[in-house]
Amino acid sequence: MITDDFVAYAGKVHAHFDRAKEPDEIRSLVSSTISMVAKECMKDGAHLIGHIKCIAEVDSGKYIACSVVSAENDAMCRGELDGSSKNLNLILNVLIYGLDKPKVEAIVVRSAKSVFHGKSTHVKFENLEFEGHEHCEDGHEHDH
Amino acid sequence: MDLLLISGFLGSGKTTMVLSTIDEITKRKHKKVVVIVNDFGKIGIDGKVMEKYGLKVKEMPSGCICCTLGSDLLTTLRDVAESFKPDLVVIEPTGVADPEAIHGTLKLYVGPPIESTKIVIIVDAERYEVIAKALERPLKNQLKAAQVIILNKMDRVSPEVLAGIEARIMESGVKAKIIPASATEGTNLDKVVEAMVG
Repeated sequence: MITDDFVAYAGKVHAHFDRAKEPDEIRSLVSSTISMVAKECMKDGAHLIGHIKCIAEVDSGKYIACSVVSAENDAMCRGELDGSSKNLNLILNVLIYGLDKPKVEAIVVRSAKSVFHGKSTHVKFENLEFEGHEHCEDGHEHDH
Repeated sequence: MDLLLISGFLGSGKTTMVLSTIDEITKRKHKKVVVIVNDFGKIGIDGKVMEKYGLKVKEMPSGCICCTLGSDLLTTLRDVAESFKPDLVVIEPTGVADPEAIHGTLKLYVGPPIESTKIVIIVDAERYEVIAKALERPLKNQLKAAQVIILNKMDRVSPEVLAGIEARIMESGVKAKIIPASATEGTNLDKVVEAMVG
């Protein structure tokens, strides 16, 4: 099933919130992000979503894991968060058919920016595809 | 030591099925279980989730154990067998893996003996048509390798759709036992456990 148009992309989003966010807000941000990645991938020409999944950890070390397999369905999440948190580390794996890696990375960055936009949030992206991973701050355009 | 290979396409619910059945397998069969998880992505996610659920896990990210990580699988399996002395090793390959190729690789294994190997394929009932249309031949290859097929996410399709999928799989010459189930709803998991380790 590893066809020519199959791509696997791994990335990390680190978000710092000026005001600590409650578990429900964080869960909503995480599930919205991967749902938007799925929708944007299909909009940009993917012909099949394999699996888009992520694990999101907060300050307490608690985590949620979410995944989505289509642009139509909501993300499914498991795990519990407790208490409010000022930081969120989100590791994503996007396994998809019909797009190349730079396009997938652009979609991940664009989707996270859109979901986290305007919420007194500082976002950093990390491409986990490279040794010695590359960082970029929010709003900073980059080429790999 | 027994091996249980839980394969199936991306997003079919392999990890959820492992998490939903492993306690029952351990309890019912008094088995010491280790899980080897293979994630195609550079960073393994499924293994981290399983560890957080308290399972003994060996992660194998960055490739597929049916091809690029084949020899690593043999080394990992021998290490697991020697260090943990498990009764059962559950292997969850990436969703793009060819289970028959993994089975072939396992024939080259040298280490504490393997008494039995069972191949279980998880099928996403909700996305069956879409996947069959896009990846017909590889999907057939996965199904042909199965001794047991779990039609997962049965709660998300009608009984008619479920029966239609079952009929299509049987028409394609697959002889495996087919069990409709839902890992998230807990439906038919007793049958799934029995088929996996009974």
